[in-house]
Amino acid sequence: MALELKSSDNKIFEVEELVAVQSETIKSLVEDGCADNVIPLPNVDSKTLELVLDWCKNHVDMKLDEEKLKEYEDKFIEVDQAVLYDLLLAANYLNIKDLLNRACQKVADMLKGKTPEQIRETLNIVNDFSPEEEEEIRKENLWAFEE
Amino acid sequence: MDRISELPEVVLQYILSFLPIKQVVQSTVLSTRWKHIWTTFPNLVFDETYFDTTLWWSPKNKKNPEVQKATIVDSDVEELNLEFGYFGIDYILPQRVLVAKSLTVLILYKCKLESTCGDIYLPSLKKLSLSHVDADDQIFQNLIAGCPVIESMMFRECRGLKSIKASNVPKVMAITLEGNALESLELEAFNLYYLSMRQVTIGSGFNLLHCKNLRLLSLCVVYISNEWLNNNLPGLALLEKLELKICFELKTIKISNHHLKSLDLDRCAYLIEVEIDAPKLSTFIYYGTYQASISSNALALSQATYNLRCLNVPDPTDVEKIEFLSKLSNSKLLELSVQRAENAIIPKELRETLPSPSYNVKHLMVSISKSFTRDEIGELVDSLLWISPLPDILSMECSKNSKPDFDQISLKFFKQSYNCKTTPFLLYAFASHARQATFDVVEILVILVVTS
Repeated sequence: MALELKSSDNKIFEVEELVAVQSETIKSLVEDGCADNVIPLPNVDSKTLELVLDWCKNHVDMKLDEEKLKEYEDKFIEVDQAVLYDLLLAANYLNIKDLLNRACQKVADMLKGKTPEQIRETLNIVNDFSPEEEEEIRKENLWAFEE
Repeated sequence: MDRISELPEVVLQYILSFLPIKQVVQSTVLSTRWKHIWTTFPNLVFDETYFDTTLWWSPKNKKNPEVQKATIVDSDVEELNLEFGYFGIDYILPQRVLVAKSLTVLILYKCKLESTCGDIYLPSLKKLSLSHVDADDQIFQNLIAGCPVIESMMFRECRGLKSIKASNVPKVMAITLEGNALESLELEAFNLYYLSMRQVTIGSGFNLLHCKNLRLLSLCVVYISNEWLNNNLPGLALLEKLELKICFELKTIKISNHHLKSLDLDRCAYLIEVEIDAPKLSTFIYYGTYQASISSNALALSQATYNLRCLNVPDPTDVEKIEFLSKLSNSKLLELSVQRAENAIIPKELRETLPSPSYNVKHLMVSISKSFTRDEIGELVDSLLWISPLPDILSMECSKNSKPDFDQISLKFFKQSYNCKTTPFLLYAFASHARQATFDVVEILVILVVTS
């Protein structure tokens, strides 16, 4: 059975139910009988939705081939930060556990071993603490900031 | 542009959960937004309901939640509960957890413990609960030995666990084991108060000879023999509650424990003879057949619950039934659960010649699996009233899908005359059909209040 999904920029995607229900969100809609019409997804744009659906499709196709699936996942997640965040948001919104898992892992990999200063740089985080405040926090958990 | 800080808090916490603890704590200094995330971390519950709050339709999602909890150890945390569902993570517990000075409770579900360079030392740990945790036996031993003040331990389906030596943990009071295949279990534990074993296979040599203070013992699907039980039970002079469930090797057993208050014999299907020497027994639960010969010197029970099934043996004879019921119905609350009405019926001739077994039953409850007929009801009630002539309440029910074949029941009680100096009564009976959406239960509540 096919379902129709509509992205935030009004593009319609037709997908097999089996593929779409990897999203727990969509799955419960189907179970509740609310999936007869087009399902609007106002929080996901077409570019991201296309990627997400590709993930879901491959997870159905390669379900039995763990190695191949891992290869696919590793390749899939090699995207730039902007796309990675879009994927994260979409996976969270659509409740696709394995995609969320992989995407979060990827972000964590980007941060592993980095000092807070380096992390700020990688992620463009603005340090809005005053020097005194920052000093206070470091003192509270000294063990974490020691070399 | 800093897009990562715009992500929902739960997602940020989840990202952090992949990082070593040190880095998680360091995240508090990134910005004011990140400081806030850390402060709510210790109680992170990352489950379906979090996802649901971001949805704008169908608040009632009917699915089985797979709870994923990931909490991170703060240097002062006291309770750590890490449970992983089917997220595909092979989580290896960080070493830091195993030397947390302040930890008093550690609960782990579905993760791994790997060999570490350092020692395991949890000086404050009182409660340890491991479910589906894989590790080498040596690591389990180190873990147990590294908890000097442990009071309660539970190991459920822990692959790799081969032996437990309680003498390493002299303060231990409660041990629960489920689904483990152990080679040795040494329980030299003076303080052991509670022992529960379920689906545990154990090498020979296992005994309870050194658990003089045991109060509660529960063995379910454990292969213990008559000899083992008869050797090990008498030494448990303080035993208050004993549960023996699905122990198929037991045939002839003697239970002689003078402090025993509660006994539960559940589906030990091959029991032939049970001798109960427990004058203080207050609760007796038995799920088995009428055929087992059970004798008890309990003076008066408060609760007797008998689930009497056929369990692949022929129907009981009247003598067997009478012996069973007359010996064991001396209880304030008597609950009988049988398959067919005839299992609880004693023939009239015998009722007229034999004395009633129990005047003490105040509340008699009977439930019958298969439907009973109008004719059976009369005899059934007469039988029950013979067993316990003076109940305050008599309730009978049959389970769903087997309604009796009548709409109204009128009950005529054949009253025997007996010496009864109790308060005046009135006879009152009513029948009601309760048809509910999910099941049909016909409950006939008979409240007996007899005028003298």
